Amino acid sequence: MKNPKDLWAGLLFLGFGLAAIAISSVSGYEVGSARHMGPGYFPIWLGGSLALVGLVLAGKSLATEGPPLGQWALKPLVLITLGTLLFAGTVNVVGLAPAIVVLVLLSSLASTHFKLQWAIPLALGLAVASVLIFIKGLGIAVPAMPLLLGY
Amino acid sequence: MLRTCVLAATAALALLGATPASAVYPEKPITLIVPYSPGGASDQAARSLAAATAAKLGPNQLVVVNKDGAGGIIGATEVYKAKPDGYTLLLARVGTHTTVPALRSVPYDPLNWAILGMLETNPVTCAVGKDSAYKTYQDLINAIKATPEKITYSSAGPGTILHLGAIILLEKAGFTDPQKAAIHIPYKGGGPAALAAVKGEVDFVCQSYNEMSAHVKSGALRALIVLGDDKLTDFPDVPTSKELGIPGMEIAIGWSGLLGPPKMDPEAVKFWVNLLSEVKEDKAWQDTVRRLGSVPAIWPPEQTKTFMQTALDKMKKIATDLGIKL
Amino acid sequence: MDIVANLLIGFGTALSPANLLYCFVGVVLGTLIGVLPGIGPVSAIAMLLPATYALPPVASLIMLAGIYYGAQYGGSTTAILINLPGESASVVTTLDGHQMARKGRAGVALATAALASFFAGTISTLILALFAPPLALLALKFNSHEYFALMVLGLVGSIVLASGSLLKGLGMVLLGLLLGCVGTDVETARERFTFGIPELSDGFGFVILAMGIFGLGEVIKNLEDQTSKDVVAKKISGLMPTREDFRRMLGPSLRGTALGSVLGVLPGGGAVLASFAAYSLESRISRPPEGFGNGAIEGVAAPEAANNAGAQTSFIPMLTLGIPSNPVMALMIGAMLIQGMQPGPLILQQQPGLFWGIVASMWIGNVMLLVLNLPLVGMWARMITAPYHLLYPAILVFSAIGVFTIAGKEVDVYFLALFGVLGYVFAKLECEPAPLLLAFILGPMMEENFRRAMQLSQGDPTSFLTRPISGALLAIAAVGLLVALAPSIRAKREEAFDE
Repeated sequence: MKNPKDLWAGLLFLGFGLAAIAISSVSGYEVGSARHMGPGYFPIWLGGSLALVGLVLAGKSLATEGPPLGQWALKPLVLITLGTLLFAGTVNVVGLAPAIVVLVLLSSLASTHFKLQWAIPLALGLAVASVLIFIKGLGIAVPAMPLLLGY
Repeated sequence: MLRTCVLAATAALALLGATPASAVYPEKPITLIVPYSPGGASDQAARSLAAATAAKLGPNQLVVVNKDGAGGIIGATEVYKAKPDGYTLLLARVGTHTTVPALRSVPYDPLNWAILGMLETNPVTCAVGKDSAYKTYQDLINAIKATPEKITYSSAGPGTILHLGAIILLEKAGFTDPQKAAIHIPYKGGGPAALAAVKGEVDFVCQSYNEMSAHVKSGALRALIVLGDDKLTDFPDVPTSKELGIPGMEIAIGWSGLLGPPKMDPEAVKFWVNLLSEVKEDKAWQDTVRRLGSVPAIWPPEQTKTFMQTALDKMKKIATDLGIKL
Repeated sequence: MDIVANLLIGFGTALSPANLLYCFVGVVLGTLIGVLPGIGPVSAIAMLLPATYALPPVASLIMLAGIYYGAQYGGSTTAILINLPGESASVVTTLDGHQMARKGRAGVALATAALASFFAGTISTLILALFAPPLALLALKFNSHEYFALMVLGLVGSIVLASGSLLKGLGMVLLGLLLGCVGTDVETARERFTFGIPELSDGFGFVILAMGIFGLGEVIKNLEDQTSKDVVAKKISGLMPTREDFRRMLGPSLRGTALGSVLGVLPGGGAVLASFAAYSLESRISRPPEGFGNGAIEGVAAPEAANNAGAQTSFIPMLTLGIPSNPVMALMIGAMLIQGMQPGPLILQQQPGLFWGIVASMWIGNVMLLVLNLPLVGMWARMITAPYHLLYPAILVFSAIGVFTIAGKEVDVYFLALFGVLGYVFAKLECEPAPLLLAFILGPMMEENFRRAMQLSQGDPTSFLTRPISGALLAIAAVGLLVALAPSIRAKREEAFDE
């Protein structure tokens, strides 16, 4: 593998392109005619072109030199994604403040500078500030902390 | 420092929105969900209602929240499933409660709601550009007969009351296949649809009068027919379908109503029915609604319910008869 | 029509002490709310609209104008400081603005954004006053064919502006167009790629896509290598632009203003293109020493000027034709109607005081913005010298809440996380996300107009070439693509980016 960045980008495009064609065909989006195009016309053309671009890019990458991919930041990737997903899953259930605390603590773990005595005040501070700004100030319709305060 | 600033903003906002407290309903702000995007006809209906009720409820006590998506179904479903305590209401539209339920299944029963009342109606008007050769509705129909499948018309989208209105009108004009007699060109929303007729990109447009009143007033569009029985206040010369001897077009009308989730707290229902009957007499509200190009039409719950039921039944029948589906 | 007399009427209305105060309050509130990620001008105006009902009509419009400009500028601030674009226009600002911030020039970038916007606002106010009717005619000349051609030109421009490989740029554009297909088909109302999720029936929200790919992706990328630094920018070198900076921002601001003024007139799609178009034009004309994408001041001045000019001239179709060209205008029309004013073609004749009052207050809003924000530049700039391990959780919190508040749907936050992952992957593979975002915005409009044009011309594709405006736009696009492909020029282009 001489040019891994281009190779993977090509494969990514190829995958998205083929998926678009597959979904369009399986769901039966009509292609229609040039005069009266159906909902499938654009997606199938786009998917085909994208797959082609991906194929060319991946093919060319085998012959050209490129920088290595480098380390993947797996820990930050997982923690930040997980934190955001948990925020989404909990905000309407346990309220804004606890959801923020979860998000801040989880994502803080991704930093090598993580210290609990920093992360906890940060989480609480952001929770209080957000409740004040978004719920009290801007009137967003979401409970702040229903379990403890009952609202 | 950021926080200081934001807190200052919060304080300023709190000052702007200071509210009087009271013990009975409503004791906190009421959310009025508009199932479409800001700036549209439904949003305007909601905001003029909010402005008209501010004196009674206190400023900022009826909070308009736009939750658009899926042709209004997302916002409507949310209110349908909301706590029936009277603090979540829906600005219901012809789309959420007549046309879309007539054409496909929706996650709620369009008639099982706490009906607080109709608010306003939006007559559908068909118009041509100022340079068009068609001076009257009959000219237009003759042209469609003379050149079948050539004349184009724009609407705010497939399956809207405007698209259906045009199809019903063509059916009543005697075309055997009203979906093919003229070519329907859908646009993304009423504004672009009306503009297409102004520019002459299409031959005519069927659209809520409120979304093209500016063009008709400036002379860029010439209104040929108003569907239904109500005349346009601005243009009494434009004939209604009833005057032209076309019966049964009153179902092709846009409307906005105020609904709550099923089994809504009876206290809250009573409060709103009373409040709406006060708003009905409010001259400033009437003027605002008319300026928006709509017809003020606050009806009591029973009348609203009968209307909704009839409209839905008729629309379902028309959809089946003509084979229209989404 | 006597322009001077008209503007005097306008300023006479707008300059009363009370109105100035409302304008100031509007700018302050707008800036503070607009700074919050994800809350753009539309949400800010929708949230604060009820507060203006109690005011007299002209005062309420002046306050709304202040909120509008404030929120727009607040959005640019977030884009520059923490790479979180809150609306389409500020995507382009992040490209060089955030790079300037990383090099310690956040203050200069913020000041440039404010100054370029003010400059553009002043010129386009004059354009509005002088040329409103002829420019409105331009809007009437644009039919489906012309819009399609304009979108193609915009996409070609965005491929050219991508600094990496041309093939990757093309791939990102196609991927963006595909992402834009998600949702309900305008013509048949058929749902595509929604997998039965009702929240997807209107497609992905732009803000979600942009904040995920730019904001979250950037945070993850920054955490990749934590050995070297724990701050976005270590030191701040100078808050205000130097004489050299001023010299460099003048040309781009002028060209951005011109481009933005013309594009802003076209309802639906024109104004969106303004900042992207100005940036790609600049990347062909200017030769900044550091190269575009590395903190070139030209890359901040041009799109900010274009955006503000477009915002100003988008009033022309509203006031002369009664068409709201964007959601902000639609909200403004609603506010005017509720206040008892009738916007539309007749407003100029019947209520000249009101019309010119709005024009004048727009300009005054720009002045206020400058007066308010230049002193704050230092405070904002210092914010990003905070330790990154304290800053990034705050960025995540505000992104998540910002996305959540758009419509109160948790699903949106799930998508935010998804696009964060995608953004990081793009960063790893050196795929520029800006062309993807532009294609995502333009895609649905392009498809809609293409299909409609083909239907109206009975399936004849040559109609795109035989119509003068669309033919000319497509010809420019073809030349642009050829230039980008031509090897000799391509070598030069890469050289410019490598510097």
